[in-house]
Amino acid sequence: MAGWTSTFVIASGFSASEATAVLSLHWLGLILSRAFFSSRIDRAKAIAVERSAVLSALALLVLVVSGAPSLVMIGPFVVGVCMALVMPTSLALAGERIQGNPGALFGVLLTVAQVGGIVLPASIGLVAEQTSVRLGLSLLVVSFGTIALIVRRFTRDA
Amino acid sequence: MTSPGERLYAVACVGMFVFGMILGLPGTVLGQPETVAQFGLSLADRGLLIATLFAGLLVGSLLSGPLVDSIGQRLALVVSSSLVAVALPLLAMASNAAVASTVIFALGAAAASINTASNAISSELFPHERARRMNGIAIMVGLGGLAMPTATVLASELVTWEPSSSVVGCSQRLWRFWGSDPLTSLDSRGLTPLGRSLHFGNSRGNPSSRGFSC
Repeated sequence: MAGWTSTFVIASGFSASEATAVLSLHWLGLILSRAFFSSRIDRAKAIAVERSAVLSALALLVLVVSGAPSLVMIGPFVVGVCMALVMPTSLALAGERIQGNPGALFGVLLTVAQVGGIVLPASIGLVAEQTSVRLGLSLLVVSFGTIALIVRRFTRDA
Repeated sequence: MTSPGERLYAVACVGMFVFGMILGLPGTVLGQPETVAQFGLSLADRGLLIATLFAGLLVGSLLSGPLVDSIGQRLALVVSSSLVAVALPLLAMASNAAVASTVIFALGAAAASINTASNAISSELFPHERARRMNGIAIMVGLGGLAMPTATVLASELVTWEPSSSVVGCSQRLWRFWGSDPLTSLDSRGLTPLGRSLHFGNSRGNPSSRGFSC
């Protein structure tokens, strides 16, 4: 998301400096959400991950579908707020359930995360090149939806 | 912040701040018209360059697990942040997209151990508040990601993005020097820096050998 935010904003008709400001807002959303919610989720990590993923998918869907300039400006901030808890809380959940060799555990999990980090930006770029940046970003809606489904299944099995 | 655990957590937080700046680097730099013009980037090229960072992170993450478990979380942080400090100025000096992508890959590979070691530290040191602590270091990632475009916007009035990257690299190295408290900072095996000097040799354990080379 962060890698494509400024390009998305510029493609929506804003200047480079405005795009950079929106990117800053996206990161600000991530920070504020983690600062506000992190102390409340230690007892319900799986639920927090699932709800964050669902909200992120919905926020991104609105951002992608709507062409309103005001949404382009504040949308990345809202998406940042929604998606902030997904990654660190998932890692905390794994650290809680799988004990021993923390380096290997987080090494493997972060490697899996990087696979998404490679595939998604490149895929967004290819789709954006063929169609539009807006449609490229819609891949993230699918991504967050998939995360929500996986966590729901995992929680149910546990 | 007096206990060894809290000090180590603070070092992990600063490491994750720099990690966040690295994650924010492509989004900031590759969106700049001057970069697009300099390297002649299409939208697909930008996606590939962003993906290059994550390819480096992927390789680095694969290696970082065994590295962190074998040499200890703290030393892994020192080694990886030193490599980042070397790579960032090289990115600022990149003359074309091929060189930039190579350096971005190396940057990602080096930064991965910061991420792995910091998460392992937070998880192991605070088992009863994992989510809070791990979200805490993730906040630092966010602050780093916020700092990169902010610094670029503020600095763009005076300079281009290249000096910002170089400054991050140098400050990263200086922080590692500051963070090596000889009495209180312990690694995952409970070794002090003196103990690590004896264990790994002086060239790795002596702070003076890694503090001012940027």
